[in-house]
Amino acid sequence: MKYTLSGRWLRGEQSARLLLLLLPVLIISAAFFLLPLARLLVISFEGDQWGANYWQALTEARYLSSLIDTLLLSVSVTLVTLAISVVCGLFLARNEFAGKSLLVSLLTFPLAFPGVVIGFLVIMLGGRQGLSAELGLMLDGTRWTFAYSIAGLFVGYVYFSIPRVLLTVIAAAEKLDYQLEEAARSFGASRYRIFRDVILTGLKPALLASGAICFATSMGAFGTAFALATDINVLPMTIYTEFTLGANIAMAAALSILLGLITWLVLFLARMLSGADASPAA
Amino acid sequence: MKLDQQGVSIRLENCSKTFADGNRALQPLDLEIRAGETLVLLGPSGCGKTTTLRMIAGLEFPDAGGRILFGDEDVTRLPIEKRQVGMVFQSYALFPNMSVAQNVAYGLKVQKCAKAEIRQRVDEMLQMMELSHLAERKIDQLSGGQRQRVALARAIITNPRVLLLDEPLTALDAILRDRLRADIDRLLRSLGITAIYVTHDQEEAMALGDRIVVMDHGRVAQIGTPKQIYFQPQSDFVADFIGQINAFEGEVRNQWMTLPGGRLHCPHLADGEARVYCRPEDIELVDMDSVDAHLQGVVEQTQFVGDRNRLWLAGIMPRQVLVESSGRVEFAPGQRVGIRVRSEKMIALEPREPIRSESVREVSPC
Ligand SMILES: Nc1ncnc2c1ncn2[C@@H]1O[C@H](COP(=O)(O)OP(=O)(O)O)[C@@H](O)[C@H]1O
Ligand SMILES: [Mg+2]
Repeated sequence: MKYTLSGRWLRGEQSARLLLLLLPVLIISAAFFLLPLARLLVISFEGDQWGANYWQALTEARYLSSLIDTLLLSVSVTLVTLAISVVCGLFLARNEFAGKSLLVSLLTFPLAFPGVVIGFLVIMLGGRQGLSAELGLMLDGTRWTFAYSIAGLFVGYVYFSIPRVLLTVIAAAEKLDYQLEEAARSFGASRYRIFRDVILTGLKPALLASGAICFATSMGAFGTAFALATDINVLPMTIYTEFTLGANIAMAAALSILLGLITWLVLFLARMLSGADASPAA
Repeated sequence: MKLDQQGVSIRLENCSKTFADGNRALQPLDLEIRAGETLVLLGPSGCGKTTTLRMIAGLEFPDAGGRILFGDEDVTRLPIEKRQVGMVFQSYALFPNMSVAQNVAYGLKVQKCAKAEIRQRVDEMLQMMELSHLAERKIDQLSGGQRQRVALARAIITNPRVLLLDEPLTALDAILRDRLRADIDRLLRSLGITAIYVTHDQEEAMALGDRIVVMDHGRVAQIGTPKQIYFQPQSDFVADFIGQINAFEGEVRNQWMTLPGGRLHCPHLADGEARVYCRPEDIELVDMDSVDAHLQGVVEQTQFVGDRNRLWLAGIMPRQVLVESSGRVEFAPGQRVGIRVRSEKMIALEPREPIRSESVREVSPC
């Protein structure tokens, strides 16, 4: 006899069957999630002192600035991507024109690229031989480059995040109830007011969901940074450096755990602050 | 509660509407709505009711040459923001993220009323609409009827010059619809506001309208009081669309129309082909051997609906004739009955086109 989560007693036979059904999920989550994570956690605490790695990660300037930079980068990538996608998404959802579906499929092209290719594209745009360098040479005789810094990373991440967010926004914008806007207009509401009270509110669940994915991806992305320069100070790069060059496995593990925790915490806070009580309309 | 601002009169002059896709939804239309009147736009689905309403709201604009006046003010080119109209939508269009009180307050907030005034007016309005106990509820926690009342409250709290309602009861079940219809009627009358009410339900139109505009394919088929529309339809379409009606069609000679089941006394008709209509409740059942049994038929089908029986008679016209009798009298299929139609209860129309459907037509909601 076993006591199940639902609070009912099951006969042995039944609970055995349940266990059998749960087995695949248990194996997968154990093999790919729980065990490595547990191991990572154990490793992160290795060293002279208990928790010293974490203390170091949060106090030493090298690590702390990496952490803050990554956070700032991801937050700004998320906000800028959301802003661009809302404007484009609303426009695309509300206007019909020739070539629209082609445009949408072009806009969603970057979905297919791995991070390294995105990095490559950023270099073509803002690298030493890139478009902006040529433009700079023409205009004031200096090469304008931004590819090999956190600015290049920002451009790459925005480029790479737009498709996911945009597709979600278009789908949500098409489902907005047009009559809500007409009702607001009947009271004389301004366009700004309608945008704030009706459109943004209606898009909020979609923005939260796609923004969360955008943020988490930016926090953890590695390929683009790797392609751009090895000295960009974002957390995944720092972890990589600690791991391969410094052979400081314990520190790499601690930073990884921190990266996961912080990402989770920010997403959790965003949900709380934006009022998750605003349940989607029935 | 009377509104501070009484409704305005509204005039549509030569308003037609052609949509961007070239579809002419409305033929040139002239319409006059008196101040404080409830005007119902009635017609089958797709006849242009919503388009007319949206033109009055300022959500659509008439083709060149059309004019819309609120009182003496020409509002033809004014968008809805500048027209001070109250709208109630079929799907209510309540703001899902706001509570009942916030929904009702929204118009006043947009119009920048003082906080204290908003609170007081919202309280009053919620009380009047019996919504006070729901003030803090979210919209998705309300029943259909409650949503309907919130939508009404939200639309009238800003003292609009005209209240526009597009099929506000269609989404509700029949019992609720009857009750809310009475509520809306009382509300419109007590407010004294100019109201335009769109529906495809003729009973709703009769119950609510001071006047009814029957529309057909983007044209006005008839304008009149409910009684005029019901008892003096001016076209086959109106006669057919409003309620149930029998058509008698035949050759008139010396005041008598000859029909397969006998003859019909029509002293008001000249000789020649003619068609008259008669409502089922205006046909009298008489004894077979009575001298008044001008027309005789066989009961083919009966339906007991409580207060009355509905009988479908064969043999009088090629199509069945529907008559009604008291619910306490028994009729059986196969029974022969006589009927009489008094000439003052007949509705005469020139025959223009063959009758489209059966002579008895159930008006189905669209
Ligand atoms: N935005 C639009 N574009 C093109 N045609 C429309 C549009 N809105 C309505 N129509 C057409 O105009 C006619 C009248 O529509 P509507 O006023 O909605 O009818 P009703 O409300 O009486 O059912 C219909 O044939 C409908 O298809
Ligand atoms: Mg309609």
